[in-house]
Amino acid sequence: MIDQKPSPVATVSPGTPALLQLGYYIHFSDAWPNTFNQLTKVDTNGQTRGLYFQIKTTNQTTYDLSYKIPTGDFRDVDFSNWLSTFNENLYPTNYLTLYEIQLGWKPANMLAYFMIPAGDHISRLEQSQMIPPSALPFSPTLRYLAAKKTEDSPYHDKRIFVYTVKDLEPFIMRLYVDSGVTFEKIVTGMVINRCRLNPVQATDTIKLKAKEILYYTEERWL
Amino acid sequence: MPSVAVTMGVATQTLVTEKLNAKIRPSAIFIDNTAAGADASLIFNDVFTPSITNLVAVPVLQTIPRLLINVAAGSCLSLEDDIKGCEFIGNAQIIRSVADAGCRISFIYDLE
Repeated sequence: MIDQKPSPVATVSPGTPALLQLGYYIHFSDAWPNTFNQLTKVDTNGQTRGLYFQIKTTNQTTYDLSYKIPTGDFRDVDFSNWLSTFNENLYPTNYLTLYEIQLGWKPANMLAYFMIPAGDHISRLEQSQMIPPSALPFSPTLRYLAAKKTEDSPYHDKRIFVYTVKDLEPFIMRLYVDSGVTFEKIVTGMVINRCRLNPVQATDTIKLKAKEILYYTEERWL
Repeated sequence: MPSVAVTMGVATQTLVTEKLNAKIRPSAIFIDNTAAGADASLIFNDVFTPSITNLVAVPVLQTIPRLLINVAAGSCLSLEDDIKGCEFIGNAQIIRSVADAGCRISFIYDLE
């Protein structure tokens, strides 16, 4: 659902591509609900199982989003296609398309939070109060909980990956301007790797190689 | 590196129009006030309309001064290291206290 790639501790040659490539295998985990009936199937025991796919075609599209936001305020960016003031139509419209969205920011005095669906933070701690703030003004300390900064995923070395499919619940990126400036311009750079999926029968080799796409409930497990 | 040069025959001028996915970072400013009839009091403004945000549903035009500079009549001023870190998030605009075509401004900048 969402990954942040760590900085490499070693280099390999030849290098490995950052984005999903033609011929790669992916697997939607068993937590995906059966409402995604092109990506899952119900087995003979009535359990929903995620399906395996091979990537048949890819196409990379770049896109920049830019907002000028006053200090102590935020802007929600809704990646979904659901019509709203803030939606950006970054979900596929075909069932057999996966969008792998790689994103990063230009230097700015900002904090970013990720939620899916709206209001539910992906990252938080287990103690009940250790949740990033939702109502303004943000707590001076908790605002830094689970907040991504520009150095976590620079514009020219994007490290955050988000995976979207048709009809997924709205994925929200909340961009907050921290104190210290009157206004800030936040530029989010994206590479949208559009992957066309071809269903395959899972073999042991495919199961070992496939990249697992988790459902968002698995990211929190609370 | 782009640059722009203007004469201040008009008191208010837009030096650089905003590029939506970048900030304007001046790397050098040269102010030639030698042919002007009076001292120049200059304001470099950052002019933009903010985005719709959680608190502001109908944003209004903002004008934020980024640099205030006085240059005596008959003199020149060159700024390079002094303006390091200065940035404009909208249009870069200059205002001279009184229009004077003898005052010339050169503005060299990066879009980052």
